[in-house]
Amino acid sequence: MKGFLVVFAVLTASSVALASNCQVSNQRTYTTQDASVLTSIAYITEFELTCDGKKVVGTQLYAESQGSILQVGENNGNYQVSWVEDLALATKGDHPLRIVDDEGVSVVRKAQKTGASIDGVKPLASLILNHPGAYTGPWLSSEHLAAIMGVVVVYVAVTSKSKLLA
Amino acid sequence: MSGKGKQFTREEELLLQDFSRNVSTKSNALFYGNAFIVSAIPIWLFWRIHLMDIVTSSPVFLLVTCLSTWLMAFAYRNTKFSLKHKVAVKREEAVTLEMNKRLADDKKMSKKEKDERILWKKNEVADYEATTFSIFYNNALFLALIIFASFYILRSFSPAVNYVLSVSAAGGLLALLSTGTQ
Repeated sequence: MKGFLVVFAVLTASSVALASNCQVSNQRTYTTQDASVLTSIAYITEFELTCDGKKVVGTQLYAESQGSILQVGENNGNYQVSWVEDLALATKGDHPLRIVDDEGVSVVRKAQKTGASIDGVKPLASLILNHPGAYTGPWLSSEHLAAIMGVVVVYVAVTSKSKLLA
Repeated sequence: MSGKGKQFTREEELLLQDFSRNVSTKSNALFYGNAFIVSAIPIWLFWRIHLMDIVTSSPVFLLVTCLSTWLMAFAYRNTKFSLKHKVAVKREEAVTLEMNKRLADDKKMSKKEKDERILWKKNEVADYEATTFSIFYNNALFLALIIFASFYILRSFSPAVNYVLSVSAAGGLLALLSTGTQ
């Protein structure tokens, strides 16, 4: 147990050491813009990671977003993280992502298990994924508009008739 | 008319026609033409919005449109009948004033003839206004009922059932309402 703790402490320390020198570059972001016929919003971001001046290739990374851990896909140093969220739950604005490696994700999971705050876990890098909001259709759908117009015309017809019959 | 075989005079026939529910062939053509157009409008709604297939659903469309045309024409006739004399009373003063002005220069015309012309004009105005208003009133109610029935009340039904029920219910309801006295 003691040995494990030592190893854990060393790994955490090395992770923290790496984190201070890692930078994200070439970030590209996509989020769903037109959700008029969809039920979920997709969030995708692609990036490259450079640590100590070297492009990181072949390392398994994870992204932590609001307590959820997402696996990051990789293709020759091009990292991609994506997820979908229910349309009703999706929020506009910045979605911060904390990129961690195997050691970092263990620390995060351990902190989650013990109920400790994960804010203290220093990530390799941080990303911001901005979702400007999605178009969900017109405020007033055409059937409601037609019904409102129908009510107006019926009102005119009924009042005119009662005036004639008065 | 009391004796067997006694015929109505032309004046009596005209008077009876004014007070009867029967309408002239011209009015009937106008009513059926309008009723057909307004009954066919929901086909577009169910074809393009509710995505019913126009070819396979054509027998249903045809049948319901014919039924609705008949119901709407019935509603037009009844509404016109209930409105015509009210309109005649409302417009009597204005029509008399206008006709008196127009016939003021004609010294040769007898008082009786002038009164007949005023009566005829009053009848014509009332007939025209009651006919056009009846068409407007029933069309407005019919289309509003279709919108409410198809988009809100019967929205969970299949488009074919929705079409049959909403169009025939709207036509039937208007035909029923038109039989009321008010």
